[in-house]
Amino acid sequence: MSRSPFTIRDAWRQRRQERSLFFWSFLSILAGYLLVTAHKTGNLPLHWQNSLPLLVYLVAMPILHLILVLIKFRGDPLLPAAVFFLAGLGMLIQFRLGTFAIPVPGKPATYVFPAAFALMLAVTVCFRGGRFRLLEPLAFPCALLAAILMGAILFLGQRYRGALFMPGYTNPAELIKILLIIFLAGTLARWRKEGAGAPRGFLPWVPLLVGWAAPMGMLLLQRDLGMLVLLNAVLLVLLVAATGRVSYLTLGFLGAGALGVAIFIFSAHGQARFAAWLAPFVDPTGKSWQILQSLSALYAGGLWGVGLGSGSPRLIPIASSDFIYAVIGEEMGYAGCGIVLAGYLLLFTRGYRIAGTSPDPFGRLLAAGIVTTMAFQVLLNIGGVIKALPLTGITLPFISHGGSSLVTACIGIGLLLALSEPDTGAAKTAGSPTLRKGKPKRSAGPRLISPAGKK
Amino acid sequence: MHQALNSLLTLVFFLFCFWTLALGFRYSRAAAPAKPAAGTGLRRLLRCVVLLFVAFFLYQATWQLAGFSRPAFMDFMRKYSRRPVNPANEMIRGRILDRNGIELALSARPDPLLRRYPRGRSFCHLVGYADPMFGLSGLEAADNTFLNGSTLASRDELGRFGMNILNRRKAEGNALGLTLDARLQETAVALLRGRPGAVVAIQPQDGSLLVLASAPAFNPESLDASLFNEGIKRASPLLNRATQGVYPAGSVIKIMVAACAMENGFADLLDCPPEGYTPPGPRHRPIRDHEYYEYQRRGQAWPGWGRIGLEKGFARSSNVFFAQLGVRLGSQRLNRAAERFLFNQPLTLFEGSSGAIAVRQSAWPVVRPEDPGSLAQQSIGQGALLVTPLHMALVAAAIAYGGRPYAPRLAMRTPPRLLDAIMDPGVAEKLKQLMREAVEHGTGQGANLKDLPIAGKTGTAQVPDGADHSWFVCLAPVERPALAIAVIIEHGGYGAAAALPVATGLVKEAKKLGLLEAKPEPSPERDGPGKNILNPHPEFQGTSGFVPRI
Repeated sequence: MSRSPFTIRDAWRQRRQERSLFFWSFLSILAGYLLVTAHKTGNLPLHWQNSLPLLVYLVAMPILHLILVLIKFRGDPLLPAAVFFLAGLGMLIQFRLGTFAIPVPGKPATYVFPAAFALMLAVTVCFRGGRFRLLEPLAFPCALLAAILMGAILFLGQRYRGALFMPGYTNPAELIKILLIIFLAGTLARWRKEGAGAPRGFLPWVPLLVGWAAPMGMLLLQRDLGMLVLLNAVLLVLLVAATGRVSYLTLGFLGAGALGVAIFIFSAHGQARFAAWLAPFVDPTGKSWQILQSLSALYAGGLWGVGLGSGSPRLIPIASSDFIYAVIGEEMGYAGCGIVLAGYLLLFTRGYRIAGTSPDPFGRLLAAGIVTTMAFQVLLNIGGVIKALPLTGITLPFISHGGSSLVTACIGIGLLLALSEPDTGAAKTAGSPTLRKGKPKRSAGPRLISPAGKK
Repeated sequence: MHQALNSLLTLVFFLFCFWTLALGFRYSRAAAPAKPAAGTGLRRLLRCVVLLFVAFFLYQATWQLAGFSRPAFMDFMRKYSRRPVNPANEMIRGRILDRNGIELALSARPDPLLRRYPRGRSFCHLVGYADPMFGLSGLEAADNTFLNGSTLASRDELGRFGMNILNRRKAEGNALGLTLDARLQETAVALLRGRPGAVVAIQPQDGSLLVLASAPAFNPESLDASLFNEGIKRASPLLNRATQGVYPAGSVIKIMVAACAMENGFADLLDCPPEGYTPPGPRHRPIRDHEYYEYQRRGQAWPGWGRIGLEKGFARSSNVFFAQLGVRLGSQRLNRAAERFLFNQPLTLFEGSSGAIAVRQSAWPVVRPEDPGSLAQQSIGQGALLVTPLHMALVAAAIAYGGRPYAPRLAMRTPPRLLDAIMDPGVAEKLKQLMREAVEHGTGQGANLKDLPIAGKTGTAQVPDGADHSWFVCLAPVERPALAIAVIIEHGGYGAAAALPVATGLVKEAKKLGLLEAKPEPSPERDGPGKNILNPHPEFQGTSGFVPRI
């Protein structure tokens, strides 16, 4: 590790890969943009203002890169690149769907993406250089905040498509993902510090259960099954990661099974979705209409797709958010779906790598939690669209239309970026800089967190 | 121009995307450590996530790329797709061909839903139909997945499957090649002249079915609901009489009784008086020969046959002789013979990718020893005995091939397979001579062609609802049989009158087509397992014999 001060020139050199990927992403999206406009996508008047959000986005990319260089950011350069590639594809599809139809330049919707990235940058700057540890003592307040947020939605929200939304169709429930991951990471990291692996006795479980039960109960009341499944799956993964006990998974599966049965018995909504999933051809024009339309779109796309701009996304239900993957499948084909999935895998690989190099338990759990949440979110969404899982109404991060989802995902990525930067402040136990070649750090046991004293 | 620009831009877009990702993964690999640190459990977690992604992606392919292998899904899209070009119709259903490549069923762009049957009525029962409104039947149903190009059993199928995935716009299902000879089949249909009945012709050397004709027929290209509503009550045009029609066997069963007698060394003469034979026991009516009634109609008295042996009894098809013979042989021997002759056993013609074509079981009600009346009746092919035309053709094929027949096969891709011997080779040879004698000097003299020696057996089966059913079972040429035929014409009268000319006409046509010339025999494992193909679901046979795979 170099002792000399890290200059802007160093940062410019270190972020070369990011620059190169930004460049190629830019070209990809530009090609896609030309493709869509060359098509004069059916029945959509081509107005320059339609393209405004996309153009703003394309301009925002180099600016963000320059800012990262200017603040001498030393974190992972591939993570922002992967995000930009995925979000760019998302913008492209949304543009093609006409989601941005004639926005006035002053309308906030135009700037959702730049704003979200600004937020991401702000989060990164706030918590970079080891300052993410400030969040550790805030674990319980985060759970409290999540509970309050959920309560507010429960009382003030309006139902739309079976889910609760706040005025303006914002969905602050998305934010509780971040809040609860912080809570989980904080609580579980404390277990680690207090002793080895799994807690002895019931007492250490109490704060976890209390903090977890309130938001979960309210999610159940809201009938937001997708979020419930997602968060509990993350809880399980983090429990196993923190304690090294795989038996929790078995326990979790049993719990999930019991919950599934309970939902099946008590919730007509859940029951309908489950039935539509298991036997789609029993009621093809009723309950299974959505999933069959989505599968038809995929089939129509085939291997190479019908071409960006020449599909029939109007026939796909909720095309711009829940079923965006079906639109991609129709227009870009199986190959295009592969591209999207590969983009996500790049993101997750980097994410878990950041988690692995983080020097303390809290950082590791936080990073692992964020990445796992995002990965499961992608799996739940795609699984629903391809009929591998029942429909859950979970969005596809960065690609689905939806401000709350985007903002949440960007905050998560902002935290990850902050975590990826080696410590410059208080703690001097910095790991190797992200892209320095070297041997992977080995910790003791098969656990996520090495015993606290072994530094 | 626009199209070219479009393709070019698509290509560029994909290339850039691939390149971006490839670069990203390369950078990621180069950056150390490329994977999360060992021992943190994160590596395993990442591996799990990647595995899940791969699994989902593969599952997606079963819908997106190979969705055509899901019939319910295709049906859904055919019905409800609102896309300008219905994606379900991109796949063209495979053709059905006869042994010479003549098309029996085909679909073509630009209207892939329209299934055409160029030889419509001649093959309607066996080939069936694939209709958007009425569904599938016959071979169209039994080999549906194969025809739709979604089976992976052979290398050809695998290759086609791959090509169909790569280029869906030119996708086509697999072609099903049958052993039938379209020209011969059409001759058979013409010879039937629309009279309800059936013709079956088998090549004894490998069990290939050359003709499987049934009348009356329907037009598979223009189905309408009335066919299904009234068909049952009337002449049942939907019924494949060759495989699903069960009839009293009449004198044709005497082949089996004679075989049983020879196998048991029976060589006695039996007295056949004009007034007939009355089986022992209460309330039995005498069994008489039809000559008795003919003489009676003319006001004369028939002198009877006197004491005759098996040869004359068979050639003259004497009921009096065979009723006595059956009773002499006894129920045990005949029951055993019937079992050997494949009675009461399921038989499958074709094992397809989505089901099978089964033959209806011929019924030989097991006779108890204390019931000589039934035994006498069944020995002359009456009573509760019922057979299918295909079964009788199979018996003829067995006689033609040394007593051990090949399982009847319908598809070229089904390899020939021997069944268990149904009689001893010596008995088969003797039976052949008996049948030749019946043609030369007996009831089947109409089939005594000059340069084409046929061996055959007529049959006249009494039925309660009208004139007798007319049977003729034969093989030709005698020295080296290349064709085994069974013909039935419902209510056709004497076997020699209606069914026999159909069979001789067919043999003549076969000779003209060169089908009777000696061919090198296939060399199958003659001692291979001669097990019967079991149809596990006999209750599922519809009019076409289609048995769904469950």
